[in-house]
Amino acid sequence: MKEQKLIFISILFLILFNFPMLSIFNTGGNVNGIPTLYLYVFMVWILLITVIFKILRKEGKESKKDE
Amino acid sequence: MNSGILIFASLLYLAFLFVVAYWAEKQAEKGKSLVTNPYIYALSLAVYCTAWTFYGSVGRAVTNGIEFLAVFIGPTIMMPIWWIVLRKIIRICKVHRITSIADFISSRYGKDATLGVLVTLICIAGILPYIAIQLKAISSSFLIVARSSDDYKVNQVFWGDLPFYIAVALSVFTIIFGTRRIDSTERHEGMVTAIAAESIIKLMAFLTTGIFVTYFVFNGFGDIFQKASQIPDIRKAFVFNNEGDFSNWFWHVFLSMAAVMFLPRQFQVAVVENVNERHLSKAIWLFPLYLLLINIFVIPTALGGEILFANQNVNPDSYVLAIPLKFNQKILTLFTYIGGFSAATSMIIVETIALSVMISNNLVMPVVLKSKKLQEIFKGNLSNLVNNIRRTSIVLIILLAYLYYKTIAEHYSLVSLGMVSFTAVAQFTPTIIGGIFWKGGNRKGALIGLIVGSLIWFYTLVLPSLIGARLFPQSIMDNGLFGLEFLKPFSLFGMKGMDNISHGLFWSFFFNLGCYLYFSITSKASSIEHNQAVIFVDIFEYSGQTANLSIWRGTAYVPDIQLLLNNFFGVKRTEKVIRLFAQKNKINLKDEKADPQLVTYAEKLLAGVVGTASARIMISSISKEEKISTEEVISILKSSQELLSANKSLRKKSVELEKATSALKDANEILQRTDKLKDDFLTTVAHEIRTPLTSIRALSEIVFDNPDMEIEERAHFLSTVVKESDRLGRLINQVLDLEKYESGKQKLNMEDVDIQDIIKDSVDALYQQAKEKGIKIVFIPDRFAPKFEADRDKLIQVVVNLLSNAIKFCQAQKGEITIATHYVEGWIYTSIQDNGVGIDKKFHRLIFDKFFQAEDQTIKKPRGSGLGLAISKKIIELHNGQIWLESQVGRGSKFTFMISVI
Repeated sequence: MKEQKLIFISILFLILFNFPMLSIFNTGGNVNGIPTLYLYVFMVWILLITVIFKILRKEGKESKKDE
Repeated sequence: MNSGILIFASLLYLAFLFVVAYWAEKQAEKGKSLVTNPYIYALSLAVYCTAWTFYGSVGRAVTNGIEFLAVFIGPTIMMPIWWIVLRKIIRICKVHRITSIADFISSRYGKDATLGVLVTLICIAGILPYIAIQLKAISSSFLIVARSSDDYKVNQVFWGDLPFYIAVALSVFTIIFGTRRIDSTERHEGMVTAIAAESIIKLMAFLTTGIFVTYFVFNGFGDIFQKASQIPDIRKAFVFNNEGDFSNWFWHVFLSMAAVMFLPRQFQVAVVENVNERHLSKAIWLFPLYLLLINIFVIPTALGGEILFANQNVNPDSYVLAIPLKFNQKILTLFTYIGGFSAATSMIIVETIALSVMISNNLVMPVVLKSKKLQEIFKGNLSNLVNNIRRTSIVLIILLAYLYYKTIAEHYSLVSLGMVSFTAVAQFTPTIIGGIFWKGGNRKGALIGLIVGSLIWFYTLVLPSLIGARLFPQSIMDNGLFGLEFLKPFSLFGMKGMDNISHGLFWSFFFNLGCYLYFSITSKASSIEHNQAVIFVDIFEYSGQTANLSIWRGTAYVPDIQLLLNNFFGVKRTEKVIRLFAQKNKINLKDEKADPQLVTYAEKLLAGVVGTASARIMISSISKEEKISTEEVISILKSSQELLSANKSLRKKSVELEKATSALKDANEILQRTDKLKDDFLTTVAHEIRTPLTSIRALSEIVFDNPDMEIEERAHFLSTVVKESDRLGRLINQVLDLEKYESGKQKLNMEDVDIQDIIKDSVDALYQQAKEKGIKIVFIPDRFAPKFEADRDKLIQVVVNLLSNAIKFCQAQKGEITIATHYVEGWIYTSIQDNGVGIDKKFHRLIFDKFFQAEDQTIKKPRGSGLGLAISKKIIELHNGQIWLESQVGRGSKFTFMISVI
């Protein structure tokens, strides 16, 4: 279950981090001066770390219970 | 800045590393190992960030915009999969005592020595330039900082060779902390701790500089981007400008996904130095977080540099240092310099250790062991030999890297060479990933795939750099090899539109994977390859017992094995290890012929020291091995699997039995205790009955024997007889009462009662008695106490009992009893306090036991049956309430009971 979740996350973010997803934000525009492409990449990055953290923390608790 | 200060700081920093590593090893010896901590593990993974990250990222960001991030995004995407892939690799390596990538591949494909050699060579060829650019980074960062000082020219001769001295110092460090122990499965705790410390330092240094640039030189992110966007050249870097950029980005992400696992230094810290598989679950999010943090300020620093040094000839790779220097921030510059220095040194140290193990175990030892001549020379001294090979190779690697730096690396920027190294180790991806998930992958496929892949890598990525250094003619670049147009290194077969890294990666990977699959499918694997494939792919099914499971058949003799192990572990340790193993697995060592389990175990022990292939060579040199078919292997594995599960269920049953036994024992104890209590109770009751009975009998006898007794005296005697009879009757009633409560036969007669009424009635009953003794009774009622359901008579019995006890223990004329009621949150508390003698704390609980006074003969026996409090307690408990005592000797006692009103 956990393994499937993790593989899914990897594939999902591989897509989010690549063409053609990136082309949506490759406009040259900016938010508060920060180019949208940079902002998008960093936001997705933070999101990915959070998702991994959540999955592993939850599973870690469960596996501790089993012991 | 004065170059003397810089040299001093560098040396001081190296000394710091020595201290940290030394301290960690001392702690480990004391049993307080630091590396059992998942945070240290996660930090040590950050050895991924080298000087290339530290200086090169900024340079890359200037020329190619966001593209540099691919190298860090790749590992982050890879992290979730790590849980599946890396955990498997870690398990395999632990079970089979594998200590390097070369060993891993050679072990998986039939413990093949040739593969080990090939992998080692690819690693050396791929990594040497990478180490060289670290030296280059150290030297150029030094130059940038020192150039700002006045003594620049004076000292030029001396510090021109700083990288050389640094290289020497690093060799010493690596030798001390990397080759202290011969068995490389024992971890290098000192080294790992030092690396973790370096990771903290480089992160802090980069963040500090980044914050300085972003918030002190400029006014935050927005300000920098605003200013930068006014320069058209820079604005171009804000976006991907053509389709090719997207494809390059993809290939770079893909490349770094492979590299983060298969770079020798990553394999070393993530797999070999891993103490506990569980550490992965923290490292998997901590490591990408580290990567994110160290990259936040890369773009601002790059843009800041471009704005500040527009049209000046400043290398973007050096902006991290150049900006604080420009603003004359000496301490910050020094800190940044040390940060870059730490990034470079950590990489060099770990990479060198990993390579030295490969060189000794996969390159040199198989040759030594195969040659009879060489074996004669080193006989009995093999363990020293292994260590010396490692030491020599550490020095050699660092020296070669230094030479490389001197001759070639000077022509290249940091990033381009790093990516070339990444592509080299990416060649291991099909072989390793295929090897742990696909049993069909075999030696021939792996060998051909690796050879073809690495040749293409060399042709498309290394050759151009050699041509750049004028070691090969330029015509190859312009017209292709032998003038063949389709062999141009940067557009092989005419492929265009990619940068050279993506191009080289694509072709090498394409042919590597293709050959691996094709030859694996079309050729037949030998039995040992099959066996290893099964063990590797199904590691989680069989691990646990594969550790000492024997898939070996043949004849070997115990003394031979012992002699072999003596070479590496010494006589004493060998004997101990073998004896322990024999004991654990019930092997009889007196048999001359060695048990197959013992042989396998010995091979694994040796593999930890000299590598799988060498260990196999050594074992087969002392034994006669018989062929064993894959079907047999699988049946061995299966049967031991069944054995294991049978064993497990047996163990489970025995645990259950134990539990049942202990429960029975407990029950028996309770029974015995109750029995004893009953005996005690009977004795006490008999005793209590005998006392009044004796006095009744004695008095009656006196009256009977003296018929002429005076009438007054007779009346006095008879009244005593009546009193004693009453007492007897009361006692018997109480015993019967108590029996009713204890057996649960006593029913309560519930009605609505008012606590104030109950207390008034009780006081009325004893008023006379108190008045006679001159004792004052005060009642403090709580008017808000509601009515509640209870057995009125029983509660009066309780209050009367407590009150009469209080009267009994108060001194005449001085006594004062306070009765109070309180209503708090659904409970009515009633307390009866006296100023009598008080009760010692140790009796506060016991006092509610029946005949408590009788059991403890040391305290003065009070008047009364000794059952009153026991009965009171039962009554309160029947009302779902509680009763307790607060008291101190000499200060009176306070009995309180609480009853719920709901």
